[in-house]
Amino acid sequence: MQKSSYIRGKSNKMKGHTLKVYCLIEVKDKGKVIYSKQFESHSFVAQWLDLLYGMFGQNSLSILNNNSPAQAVFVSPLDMNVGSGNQSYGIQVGSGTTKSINDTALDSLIPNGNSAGQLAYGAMSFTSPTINTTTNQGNFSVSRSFTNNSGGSVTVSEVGIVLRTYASDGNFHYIFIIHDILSSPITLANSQVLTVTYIFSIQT
Amino acid sequence: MDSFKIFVIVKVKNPKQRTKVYRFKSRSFVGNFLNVLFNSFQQNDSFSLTQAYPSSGSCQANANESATGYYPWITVNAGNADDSYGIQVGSGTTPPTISDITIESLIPNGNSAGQLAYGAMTTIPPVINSSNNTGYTQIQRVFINQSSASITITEVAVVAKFGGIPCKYLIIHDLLPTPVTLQPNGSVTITYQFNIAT
Repeated sequence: MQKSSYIRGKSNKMKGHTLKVYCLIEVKDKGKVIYSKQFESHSFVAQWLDLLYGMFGQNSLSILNNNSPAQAVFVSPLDMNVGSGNQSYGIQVGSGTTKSINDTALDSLIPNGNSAGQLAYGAMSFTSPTINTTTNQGNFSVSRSFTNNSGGSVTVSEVGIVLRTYASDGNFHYIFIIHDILSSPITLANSQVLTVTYIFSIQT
Repeated sequence: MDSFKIFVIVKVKNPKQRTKVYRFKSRSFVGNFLNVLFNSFQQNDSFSLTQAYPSSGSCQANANESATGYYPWITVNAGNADDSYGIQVGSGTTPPTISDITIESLIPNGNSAGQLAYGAMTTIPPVINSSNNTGYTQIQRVFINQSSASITITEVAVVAKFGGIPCKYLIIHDLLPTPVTLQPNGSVTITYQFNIAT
């Protein structure tokens, strides 16, 4: 596995933009970072626009979640603050290799657990917004760790974000908004820990 | 290609003149937007927002209101003549900063000198192009000069509404690359277009 010092050098690319999302991938073995790579996420999917439309205008929305039939609902604040062991929302990882704007889920979710082909999902963690009034730049990040307790190796090739929202139909809905395919799949040996961090950045 | 872009489309109609359309890239989400996105993602019970003019004062927003019911958190669908949120226009010329909490100099709703008649906000459903994995959604507002003098617009902004007891807070602030002057009976349509590319 290749070790990279890409993170700090990339910061200049955050200048002069509206909203950008970056994804930082880090692997630790026995507490030591053995791999890190940051790239720009290019993969808001159509449901993000659906959410914006629904929230901007309090419009009815056909949410294309995994439950069918799709339901027309209004949505409330978007939540990804999920605890450990819960794979239903927050950052997810998978083993798929394809994506499109119409995606409503990861290609192939790696489920939570400690058996073969599974990863133990940690709790989501959050870093509060940093606003730099000198450079007019701001960002915050959300991250999650995935531990391989399976006894074998597990390969991660895609990452994504699912939000939970409470809707006017009285139910929670889970909405997939970001999907990224890793340029190089990451194989986690037993006991290794993968941390995925999404950084949301603005430049006024 | 950026994963998320915003364009502003400005369509100007003045009496006895050809309709002019300008389009430019918005670069000006302000810090409030980041705060609201963060606090929503973390489902925080209480955080402070400073309201945008003509509302005033700070207000406490609650991103955990889903526990008790449905509330809007980034709503812009203001009605006719309501200049307190949605798209606003102004006459300020100072470049936006990340700390802005209000448009610099709001042109208020009305039919008198220095005022514009604010139309109702329109939200336009997403258009998705599956063949090239791009899409956009739009919000739009029409402003009409019903006064007897011309009015010049130099800045535009978007104010959103959060919560059951609404906070009205600035999320986007842009200067127009070219000021727009509306003659009496002239109108301008401001469209914010939110684009993604997967």
